[in-house]
Amino acid sequence: MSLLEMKDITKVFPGVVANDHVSFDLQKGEVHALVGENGAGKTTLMKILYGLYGPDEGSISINDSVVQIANPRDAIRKGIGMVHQHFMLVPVFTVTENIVLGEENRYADYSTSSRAASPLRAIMKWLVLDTHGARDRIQELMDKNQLVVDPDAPVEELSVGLQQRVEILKILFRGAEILVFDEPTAVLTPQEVRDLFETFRELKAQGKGIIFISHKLDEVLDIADRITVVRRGKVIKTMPRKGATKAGIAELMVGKPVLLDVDNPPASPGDVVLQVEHVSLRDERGTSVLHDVSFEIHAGEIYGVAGVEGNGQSELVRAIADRVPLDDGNIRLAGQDVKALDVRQRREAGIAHIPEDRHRFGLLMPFSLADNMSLGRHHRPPFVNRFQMVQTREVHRFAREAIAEFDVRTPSEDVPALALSGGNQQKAIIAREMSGKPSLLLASQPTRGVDIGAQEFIYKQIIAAKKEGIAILLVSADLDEIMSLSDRVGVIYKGRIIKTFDIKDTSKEQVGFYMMGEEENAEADN
Amino acid sequence: MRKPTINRYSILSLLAPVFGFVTAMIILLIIVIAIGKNPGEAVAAILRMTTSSASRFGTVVSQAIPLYIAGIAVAFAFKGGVFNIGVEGQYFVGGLVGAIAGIYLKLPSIIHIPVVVLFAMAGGALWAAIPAYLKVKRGVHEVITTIMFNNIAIYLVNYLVNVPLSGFTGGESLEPQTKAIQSTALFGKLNGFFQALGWKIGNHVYLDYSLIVAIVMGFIVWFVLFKTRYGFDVRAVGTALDASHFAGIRIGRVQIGTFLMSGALAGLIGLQEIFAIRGYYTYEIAAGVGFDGIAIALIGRNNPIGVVFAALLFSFLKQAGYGLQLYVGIANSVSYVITGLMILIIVIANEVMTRYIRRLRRQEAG
Repeated sequence: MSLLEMKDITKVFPGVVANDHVSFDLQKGEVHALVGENGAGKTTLMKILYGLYGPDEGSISINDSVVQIANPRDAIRKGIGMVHQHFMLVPVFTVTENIVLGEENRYADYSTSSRAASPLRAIMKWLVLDTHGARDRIQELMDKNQLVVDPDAPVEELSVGLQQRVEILKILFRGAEILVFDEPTAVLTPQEVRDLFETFRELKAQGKGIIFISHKLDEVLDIADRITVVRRGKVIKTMPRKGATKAGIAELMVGKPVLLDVDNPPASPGDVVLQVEHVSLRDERGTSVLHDVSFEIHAGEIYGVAGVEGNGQSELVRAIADRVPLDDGNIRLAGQDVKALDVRQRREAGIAHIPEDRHRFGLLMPFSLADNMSLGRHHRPPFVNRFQMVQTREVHRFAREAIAEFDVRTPSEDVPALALSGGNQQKAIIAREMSGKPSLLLASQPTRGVDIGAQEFIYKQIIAAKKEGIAILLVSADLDEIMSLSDRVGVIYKGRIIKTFDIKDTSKEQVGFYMMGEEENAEADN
Repeated sequence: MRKPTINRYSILSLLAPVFGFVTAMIILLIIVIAIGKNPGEAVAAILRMTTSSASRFGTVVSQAIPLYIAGIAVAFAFKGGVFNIGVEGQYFVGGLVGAIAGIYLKLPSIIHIPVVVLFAMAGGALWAAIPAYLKVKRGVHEVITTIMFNNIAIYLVNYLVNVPLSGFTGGESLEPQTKAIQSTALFGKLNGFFQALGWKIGNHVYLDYSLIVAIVMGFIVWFVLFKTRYGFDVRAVGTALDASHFAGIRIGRVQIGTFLMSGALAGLIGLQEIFAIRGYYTYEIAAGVGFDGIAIALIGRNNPIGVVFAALLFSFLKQAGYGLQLYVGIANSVSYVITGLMILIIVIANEVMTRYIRRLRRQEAG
């Protein structure tokens, strides 16, 4: 008996077959990994399962009986729970309040009013919030699954790992038997990933089924019982973990062999390019977001900033790329104080920037690729003449060259940026930023949301930039990326660089340990 | 291979307003039938009022002139992401400043006319300057300030015309007004020129120098937006503020420039009425043209060429409304309902078409 069986699911969007006769099943007590590149159809399949789309063809059975899933509420009733990549929590509510949200009185007993007439009880159940029964149930779930969280803590005060526990508790509270995790490890430290997988094993032992969507093949090979690879809307292969290899899966995902190991020679650092000296910064509400941050980056060196997201990385990059009022400290580029320079002047001084959110900060989405390729230098010759008139021919010529050099896959340079895939958008940004011949490259989440093929290309470009003697600041939530590209790693925690390592003297586990902010424990251990 | 697909998209996007127009016309006829009138007569009345003679069509063009200027004034602001709702106030103030130059400066005609045009632009830009400053330097949202400034403008010109600038002589008109504008600043008509070209418009139709101003300004707006660095910055800021900022575009400066340019254009809306038709300034000049500009810009997709058609459409609808009233006895309010519906339908059709094209392009790019 299968816990879940999705059979011959087909979903066609105008002009695109998102799912082409996809069959996928899940057994009790199993972790089934679903892997594939962006746009391969994983998300569509899961949205169908969760009742957000109806399939054009195919059937879904739960425990061998065919079901129709009309909407997410229906899906939850049928025992399907989803932990989204972006958490769906109310930050100011407590853990308990978040877990019971929408199901507040599910376990209410109204014992104080047990003698009341039943119509009154019905009204009370509808009217009066009573979470006592729910609290007991939550405690039970926490104990059983080793998902310990303070039930009265406001969610906004919890770490990302703990927030994820709240999400898991939320779906278990609603009685989920089929648990879907959409890239759950993307935001976690290695220690938190270990804890999550512990929970997975616990849930398996209880006979629940887990669908694990991930890009990270090491983790897939670590936890999955079976692996299904999808590409371009089709299931390429479903296989047991035994015998599966990382290279093999990657090749199935992309359709051609992929170079997974990064060939990154040790740095031969030159002069100091960037000096960040005792920088402190507050946000608009006056909360300290950077505190006494100091580091240097040399020419031909990659300095990685590791940390759980939201610990000041974005603000750090912004303070270097943009004129923001610092509380204290200095930022120097090649010895010159750049504090007073605005974005344009900093770009002209040699700072290139691959922003963390390319749609928001990196591209004019409805503008043509050609316009986007010269953006940032569009105000200078050859892109304008001395009367400040745009030289369209030059803009297009430059774009065509850069498209060819950086392998941007596009029908032409006239296509709007929004029509390209994430990987190609990112390549276009890198092409633009590198062609300005910078001395410093700020690379923030450079491979977020791009497929493996583009990732490989982007890594090569970053390493090539390093070889050319560019100083590189790499910020990434992906610790593997930090570890394989960086020459030195600074760990950022609550706006401080709490530890700096030479890459050859550290390990992923050690860096991950500091990412949790456990500096003092670490000192004690050493 | 490349060119035909681009054309296909342009054709698709041009179809949207046509679709909206046709749908609105069908709705118009349904309404006409519903109120018990003959739809055939209604169509005949519309055609008779708008296209039956050279003069009738000339009137449509004439009335489109201020609407066009209002449209490009709003469109320029919208292109730059500035929601200048204050075109109405800038039009009132700009018109008055232009009129003052026309009344009190003594210049030969060949200089006087360009001078009043420049004064009107300066007046409009001046009225836009304070909301622009408040937006960029103080973060006050321009929708609020410009609405406030519309009211201030209306009462300010009311006061100025009634008291310090009053030219009321107790003569034939009881309307509060300024002194007469000097003849050197008055706008002549181009009717003779068009008649020489074989377009038999009557002399009562106002095709005056403001038509030239509108054409020149339309060209300037097009040129600035699409051919210059500055226009690129305006469009970039209007499209994506954060991406523009990180590309080194100085957003504050661009927004102030956008606002001033929009205000300067708005100052020109009243030229026809003040300098060609009335010959004096009064705060009773056509109200609401600045607000019509918002709808016209929207239908013309903030494009100086698209706005030509949108302004003509608006003018056509106005005349059509008069025709229905005059020949069929349908209340003018019905034609306002139709105008409103048409804007709504065209905006929806535009949006649907834009999304459809975006999806086509995405598929094409894979």
